[in-house]
Amino acid sequence: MRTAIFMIVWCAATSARAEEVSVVAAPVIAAAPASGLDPDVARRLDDADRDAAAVAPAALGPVIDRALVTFESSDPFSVAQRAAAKPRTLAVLTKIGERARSAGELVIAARAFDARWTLGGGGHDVQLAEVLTTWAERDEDAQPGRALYLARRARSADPGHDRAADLDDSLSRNHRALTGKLAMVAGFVALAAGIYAYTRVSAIEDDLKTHPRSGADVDAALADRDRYDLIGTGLLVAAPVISIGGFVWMMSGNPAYSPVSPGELPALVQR
Amino acid sequence: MRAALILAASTAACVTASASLMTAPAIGLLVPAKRVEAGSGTIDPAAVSRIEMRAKVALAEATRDALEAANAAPADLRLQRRAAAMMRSCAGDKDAKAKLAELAPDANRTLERLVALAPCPGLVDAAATWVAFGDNAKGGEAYVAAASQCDNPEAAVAAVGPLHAVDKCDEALGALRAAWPHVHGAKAKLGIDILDGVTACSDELTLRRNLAFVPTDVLQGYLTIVEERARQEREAQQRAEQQQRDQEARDRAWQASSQCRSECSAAVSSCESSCSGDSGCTQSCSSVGHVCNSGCGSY
Repeated sequence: MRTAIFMIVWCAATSARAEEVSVVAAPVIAAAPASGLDPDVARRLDDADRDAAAVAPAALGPVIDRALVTFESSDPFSVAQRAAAKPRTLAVLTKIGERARSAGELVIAARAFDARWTLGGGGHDVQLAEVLTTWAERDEDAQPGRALYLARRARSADPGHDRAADLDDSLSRNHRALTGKLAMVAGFVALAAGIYAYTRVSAIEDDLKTHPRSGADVDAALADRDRYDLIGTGLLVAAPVISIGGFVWMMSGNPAYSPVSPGELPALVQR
Repeated sequence: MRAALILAASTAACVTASASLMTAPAIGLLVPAKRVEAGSGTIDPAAVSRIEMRAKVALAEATRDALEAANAAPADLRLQRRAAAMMRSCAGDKDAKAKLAELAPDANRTLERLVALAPCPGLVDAAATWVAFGDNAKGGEAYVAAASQCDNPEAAVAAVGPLHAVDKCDEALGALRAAWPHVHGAKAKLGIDILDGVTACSDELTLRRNLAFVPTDVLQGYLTIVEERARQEREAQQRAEQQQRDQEARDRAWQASSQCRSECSAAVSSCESSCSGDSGCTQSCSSVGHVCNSGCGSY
């Protein structure tokens, strides 16, 4: 109860501060007009709206910047008009994103949709997820850390996006883990087989010592013994080579990167 | 028999060597394969600097647009005042200030128009903006003008800082003197601010002369306040100095104690080394060491 009262008082105090700008030795200035937007803020959005439809898709980057001035500038007048400017800004960003996307301007489309997503409160955004996933797929081989960031951001925008999920999973795991472990297991099998071959050598020698045999049988047994000896030695040498090779193979597949944003994202950080 | 033993030994050695080489793979089999940690990731430094720079450029652009809006509607007082206030927002940041100078080189005209349109409160807005941009002389003079034209004693107080900075205290004192009659009963705080302004623009020789316009009883009250403030400042300074001295004494005592213990330890080592394993002698050395350490203080 006390916390709720504190929050109400605090909100009231901060909202009162946001509505007026104080000047020493002068009356306060209203931070926003009584209704609507200040003429320059409205004109900025008009310009951005017009340019979003008119300029070449490759030149839409500065139009995004122009549309976002009210949300990037920290002055109290811009801050006070953000709520009123938001619906039009979202519409302009959507227009820019859709045009850029259809023209193949992936980065510009991603910036526009990403800014829209941030302004909109980070809800469900299928278009953003689609564009980010396409971008991630493009950069997957050359810049896996960036691709992973994009895939995960796409999943944040649309948790049900299958391609983003697959890409996230693929970039997050070690692709050599299974083959490496199989090689290690094969090494252990070889070790066991080598030990078995040596036991056979011992068994043949014990048998020859304890039982009298004909010369031909002795020669055959000795040949078997030499064969088992050769196989056993080979397997005991091969076992660590195969296992260590598998181990090294698996370790070399560990992802040596972490998700890092591209320079263009996040498009907007709300302060 | 001997050959059999050699064969058995070499077989065991071969198996052991082979198996020992497989320790790391055995551990590798048990440990799950590494995955990239969950989380949204980090922001690239290039993106961080872009975001920071965009905030400054956006502030300059918003200010440029506000100045254009003010120019387009010269009769709209709020837009003029807003443009001046936004210029002040830019003044606090070197990059935004430079960008604004590039985007709106004739911003000064807006301030002049604001003053012409509505000196009250335009003069104060313009003064605050000039001061924010480092023009203390112009800002201070505008504050003085606001104080006289608008009967605004707060402006007279605001004039003190910038005029003091440019050695024009006489103008500030004149404004403060003229503002004094506007201080009535409930404005005690403002009265003290005015007298503080006079004090800031005076030295020990000129203070009483500069305060001559103040009624004697008020002056006595104010001087009492000033003395009380000075006393509190002195006490605070003395406390700080005492704390520093205490800390230094503690540090010295700790160092002396540490040195003493080190010397005791060296003496005990020397004593013990001369005992040649005699336990009685070693015990005596240890006792002497305890006595020595106990004389080193509690640090």
